[in-house]
Amino acid sequence: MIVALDTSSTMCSVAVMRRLDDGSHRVLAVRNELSGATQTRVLLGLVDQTLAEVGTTPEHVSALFVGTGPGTFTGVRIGVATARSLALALDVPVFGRCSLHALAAAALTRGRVSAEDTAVVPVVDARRGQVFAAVFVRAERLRADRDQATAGVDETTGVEETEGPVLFDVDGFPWVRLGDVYAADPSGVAESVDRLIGTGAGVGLGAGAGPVYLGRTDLLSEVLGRREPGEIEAAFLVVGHAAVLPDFAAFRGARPGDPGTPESVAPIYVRSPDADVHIAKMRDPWA
Amino acid sequence: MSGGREELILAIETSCDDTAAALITASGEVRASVSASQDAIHERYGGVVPEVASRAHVERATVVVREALAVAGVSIKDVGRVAVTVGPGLIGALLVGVHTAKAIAWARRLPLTPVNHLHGHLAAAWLADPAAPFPMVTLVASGGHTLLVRVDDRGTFTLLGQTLDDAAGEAFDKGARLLGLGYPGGRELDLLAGEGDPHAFEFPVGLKRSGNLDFSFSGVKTSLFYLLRSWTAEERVARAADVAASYRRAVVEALVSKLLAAAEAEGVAAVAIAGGVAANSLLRHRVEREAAERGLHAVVPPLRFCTDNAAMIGVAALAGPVLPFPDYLDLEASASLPIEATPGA
Ligand SMILES: [Zn+2]
Repeated sequence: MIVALDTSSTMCSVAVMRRLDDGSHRVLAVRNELSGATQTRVLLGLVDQTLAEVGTTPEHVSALFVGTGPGTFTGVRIGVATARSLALALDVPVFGRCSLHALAAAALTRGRVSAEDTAVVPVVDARRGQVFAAVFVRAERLRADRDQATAGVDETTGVEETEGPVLFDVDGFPWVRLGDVYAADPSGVAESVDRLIGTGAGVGLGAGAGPVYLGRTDLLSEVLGRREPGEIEAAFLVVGHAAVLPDFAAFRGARPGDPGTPESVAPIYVRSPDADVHIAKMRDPWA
Repeated sequence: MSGGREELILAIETSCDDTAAALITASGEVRASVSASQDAIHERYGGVVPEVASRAHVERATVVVREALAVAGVSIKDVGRVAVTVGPGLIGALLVGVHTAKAIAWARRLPLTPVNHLHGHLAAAWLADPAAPFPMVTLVASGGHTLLVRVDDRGTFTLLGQTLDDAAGEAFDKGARLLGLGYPGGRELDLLAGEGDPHAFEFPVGLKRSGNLDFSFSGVKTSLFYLLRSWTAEERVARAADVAASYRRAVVEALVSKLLAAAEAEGVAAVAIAGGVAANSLLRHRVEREAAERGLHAVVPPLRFCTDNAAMIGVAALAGPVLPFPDYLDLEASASLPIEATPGA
């Protein structure tokens, strides 16, 4: 039995799965709770209920997966701390997965995004007037001469390398991440996505149905401004994203070299802590 | 538990900037007490930055638990109960410990005891000296707290007085920073003070004649600031030891005089000190000497039980409520928890 959980956003998501012989997973139960700032309080209860729904107990858990953010710092931390501690207590491996990848993968596997779509862009609240975002495209649509390794979203802050480019296999076609997971002002996201995939200039990935943005509708209206939103998927439809955590194509099962130890799972914060004010105080105690 | 062995309690503490885990037996014997200090991390900020502390706790929580198990030579399967600090403290830091404890307890179907961090500091007295007589008056002084508590037994506490502004540890750390002694600096100030003349300068002792048992350290800090500001950098260096000694004398005088006044007013048989400031050498010396002069039993715990640690949380849990599995699933941390509050009761 495999347990996956994600508390990086206001949607707390828990799934229980069974691993099949072909390496894929059959989802046995999913529980989601839209719990806002209290998402951490409900987490362990949701895990308990989801296991109970399947009629099993913690000692039958054989592996854990956890969304490691980015998202609210506290939410990400509690998800990771809980997963690491469960792994320690149950003596089972634990694996971390980027939560933005999970949102995109959940939309892809549910047919919310088609091969005609140019890109899928999950957007989550980063507080302080910013959002976390990442851009995913179908690998075969990348132009051969495009250097995907160096394709980055500019004017971003605190760019952090995540798992790498391959997201998810849909019907045999891999989707990949372009650039990094990043934090930016909402108004700049759509423009930087255009620049990244080249739709604005009519180059790059070429014509398609346009990018699909995933996120809370209020966030998306800020991200898209007065543009025609095209296809918008509200994040509230992307429930149960914890269920896709074990199935990212690049990491099905344990990756070679991924020890699965509690300490190998770390939160993805993207942004550094706001400690400048403290540094200033220390440098000049006379201020 | 099998084999008639004593129940082992796993205690976890993450209320500020130390990530700590301990294993203690039901009779209060400490089998392991492990702590990862974040001083080196917070040094560059000149103070504990909550978000930075929370991040470090996540990295270290499972590490200190595993280290404690290794030190005690036991497995997680040998643990019979989990105890955890739920407050007061930095909320983000507390949450890491609370969720670590809840997850471990849930996974192993164990009971859990939520602990008031201040009760942990009070328990350091009987952790260090199981025979210390009750009632006692305990001074809890750290970077976050300065309070006087009447302790009638291991679970009955009454607040007698507290600081109205800065904590005593804060006064030491800020003094150290003004003297250029680095972070946290309280220890360095204590060492430097040992080389100076404690009567070179007169610093005000806050609320000395107030007639109550409250403290105030903003005045002594402010007068240090104005004194040093009137000097050149060279003068500050040349007279640093005398300043440190005089400053330490003023802060310790406030603590000791109120502790002894409280003991007299309450008619107790013993006094104790706890918290990070209880590591201060002058405070330790004066409490031992002046309590003896008054025929009072004095508990001056070893340094490892004074600074934040998980052994004291485990010992405090012995007197606390035991929440059976799974009654603690929605347990949360609380940043402000008064000394009288027994969480989970
Ligand atoms: Zn403390």
